[in-house]
Amino acid sequence: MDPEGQSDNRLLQHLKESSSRFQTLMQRLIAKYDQPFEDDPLVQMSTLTYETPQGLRVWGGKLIKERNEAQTQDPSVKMITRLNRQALDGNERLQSCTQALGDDSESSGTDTSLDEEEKLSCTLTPTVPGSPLKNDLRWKYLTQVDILLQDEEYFKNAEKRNGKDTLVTLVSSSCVTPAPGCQDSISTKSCGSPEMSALSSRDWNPSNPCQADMTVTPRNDSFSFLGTSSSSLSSQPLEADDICNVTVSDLYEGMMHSMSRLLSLKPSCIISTKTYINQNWNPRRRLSRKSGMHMNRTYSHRSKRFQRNSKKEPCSKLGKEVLRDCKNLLHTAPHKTDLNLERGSLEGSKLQVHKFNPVWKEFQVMPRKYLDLNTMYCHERENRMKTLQWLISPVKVVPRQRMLPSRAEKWYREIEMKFDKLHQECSLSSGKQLPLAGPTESWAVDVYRGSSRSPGSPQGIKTPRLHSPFNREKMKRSSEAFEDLNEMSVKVDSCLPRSHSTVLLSGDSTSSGLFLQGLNSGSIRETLSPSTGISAPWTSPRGHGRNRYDEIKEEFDKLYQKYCLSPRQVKVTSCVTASPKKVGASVPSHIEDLRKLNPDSGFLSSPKLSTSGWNIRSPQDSIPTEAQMSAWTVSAVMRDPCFPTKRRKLSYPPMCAHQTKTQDSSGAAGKAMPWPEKQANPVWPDC
Amino acid sequence: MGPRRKPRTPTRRSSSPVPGPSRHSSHLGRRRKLLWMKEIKKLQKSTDLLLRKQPFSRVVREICGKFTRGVDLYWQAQALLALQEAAEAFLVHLFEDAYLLTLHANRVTLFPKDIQLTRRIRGIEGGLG
Repeated sequence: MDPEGQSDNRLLQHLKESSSRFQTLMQRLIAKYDQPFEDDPLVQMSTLTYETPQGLRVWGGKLIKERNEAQTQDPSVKMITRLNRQALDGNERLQSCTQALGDDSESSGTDTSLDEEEKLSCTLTPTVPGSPLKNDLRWKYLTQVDILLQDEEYFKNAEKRNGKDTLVTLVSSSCVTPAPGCQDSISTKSCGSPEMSALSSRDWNPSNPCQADMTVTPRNDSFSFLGTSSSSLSSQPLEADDICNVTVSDLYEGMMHSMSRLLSLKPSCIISTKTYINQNWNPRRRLSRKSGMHMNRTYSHRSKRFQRNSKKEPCSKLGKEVLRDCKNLLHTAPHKTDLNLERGSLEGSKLQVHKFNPVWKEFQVMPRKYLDLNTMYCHERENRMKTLQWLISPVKVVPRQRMLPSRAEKWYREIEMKFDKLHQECSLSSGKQLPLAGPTESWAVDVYRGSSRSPGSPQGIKTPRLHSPFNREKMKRSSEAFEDLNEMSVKVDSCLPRSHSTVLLSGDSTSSGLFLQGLNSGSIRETLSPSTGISAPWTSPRGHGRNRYDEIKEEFDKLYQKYCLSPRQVKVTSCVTASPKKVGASVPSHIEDLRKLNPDSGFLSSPKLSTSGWNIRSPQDSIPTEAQMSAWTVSAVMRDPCFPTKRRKLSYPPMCAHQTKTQDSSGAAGKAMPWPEKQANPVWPDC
Repeated sequence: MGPRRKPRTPTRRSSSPVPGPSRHSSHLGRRRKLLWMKEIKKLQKSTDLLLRKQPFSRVVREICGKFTRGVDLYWQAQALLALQEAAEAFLVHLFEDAYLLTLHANRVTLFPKDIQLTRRIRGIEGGLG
């Protein structure tokens, strides 16, 4: 019993001991972790990684991504971080030692069993309430200021202590003060103002360099900031250069950040400052970057110009779109309008488009918007640049230039003027640049004209003149025909009502009523029947014979300017037929003569002629080809009285008015033969 | 942390030590015992974490994932360390108690039933369910 009872007692005792141990252990644990760890690294549970000064690290594992310190920090800072780490390690060791001393004697040998990983984790996850990470941050900012304040005196003292091997260097986080030899070359601006140094001189005691927030490091480990002589500096020219280029932004990284936060409410500013600091931390790069910045500025101006120039493109594009809209509009209701597409009025057409087209107004507004965006972007960029310059290099203290409203207005006005200029250029050139859009523009213009006209006005007469806006094939053919006409006399069989769109310019003299002998190709303007033209789908081959089309267009323009803009422009409709007898007869050179001629021909007195014939509304109407010729080229025009003559709207508006007047004066009750009848009787009944 | 211990298969210690046929075997056995004792003493002295961090963090992630329904959270490093320390303390305590039961059963080798019995005796809270 006794031994059993003893064993039971022992067991109970062991159990109690164990439980008590456990309780004490847990209490210790609770005491250890019963505090906030604010600067503690966060372990992401998905990847089990956390950020360390060295880079991304797996929890309890290796470094995954090593942080590229060369890019983010300059060598001095790197050095300092290393030193910081050393100091931290030292701290940690001290702490562990104290802990070990505080603990039981059994935990005294803990340090020996710690492997490297554990050490690292210890440095990263300090277990003492006054966490070194926090202290480190404080230390960093404090020493930045302190060393700035103390550097001059300190280095004077350091000069005295040069020869000693046990020289300790105060390592500030970023103030890299050069050796005394180089000190003259550095302006006081770069490393603290004189007032600051004066202030510092009070605080700092040279005999006691080891202040609370400063790290004492052996000189061998530290970055050799203190050259023993100028020769040592010359041996390290690059370092000296680095040192000389240090600006306040280098020294007061945190301060710059907070200042930027305070000064500029724009988040972009902060971000830019951050990025700038991160990207251009290297002072060696700094100069080049600065110059690069200026270059950027100039480049931005250039780019602005370039963008302005490039505004042409969207202009024309927009114009195209607008015109396409017009096209669509026309396409939906092509038969309601008889259109006069004048090549010559192309230039003027745009202006009218401007007036009438609301879309065009949008188009006018749109680039302005773009420009506004552009200017905003430029403003922002420049502002950013200025703030950056001001923030980062306070050595050249540039007052922050805000965009004054007056200046902005000025700028805006300037841009507006430029835009207007460009717009004019664009609008003038687009007529030439857009051969495809050209006719459609005029088409659109005519649409607007037609819509704006009052029905009673002389211009209200709808004229089915078309310059083949859709089918270039026809144009081509006609031009070819013109070429033929150069050589020989042409008999235009245009009076025949045609259901198809092709113009038969080949001499079919037997059926043709009109003989044009010695006719110049330029004198004839063949306008194609709008019925087919209008009903022609928009999907007509555009690219087909484009070059050819351009040539024809040029030729046309030239000829048109030559002949059609002259006051002696005579429009003879294709319905006019000339008998071969009267070929030799002289043709009146102006409209009055033509008018005189008209009664003789007698076609005006035809009962079929009516004013309604002028307005060809139905697409089925085959509109006769219109032979437009200047009077002097036509040697003889003899009109057959049996065929009605239809005079179409003249291309030139005053002329048009004039001619309509003449028509009115000469017009009898029924002027024009209704075309459906014509269609019904394709063969001339009287002939 | 010290070098990893090689897992050793638990061998039931005979109640009466087998007389070694030669001096060498007894010498080796004594050495082994010394090694064990050394290791035990060393581990009893040490306060560092015995479990590896990465596997433990994986366990934490697994359990955490059950409670957060798959949402990945961030853990402070200190929290992970605290959890690990607490877990280790609990396990040590559990093993101590379980080994007492093993000894009580006149064994030197810890069996799973010892641990289960310990938890049973401790109850829901003490044995943690």
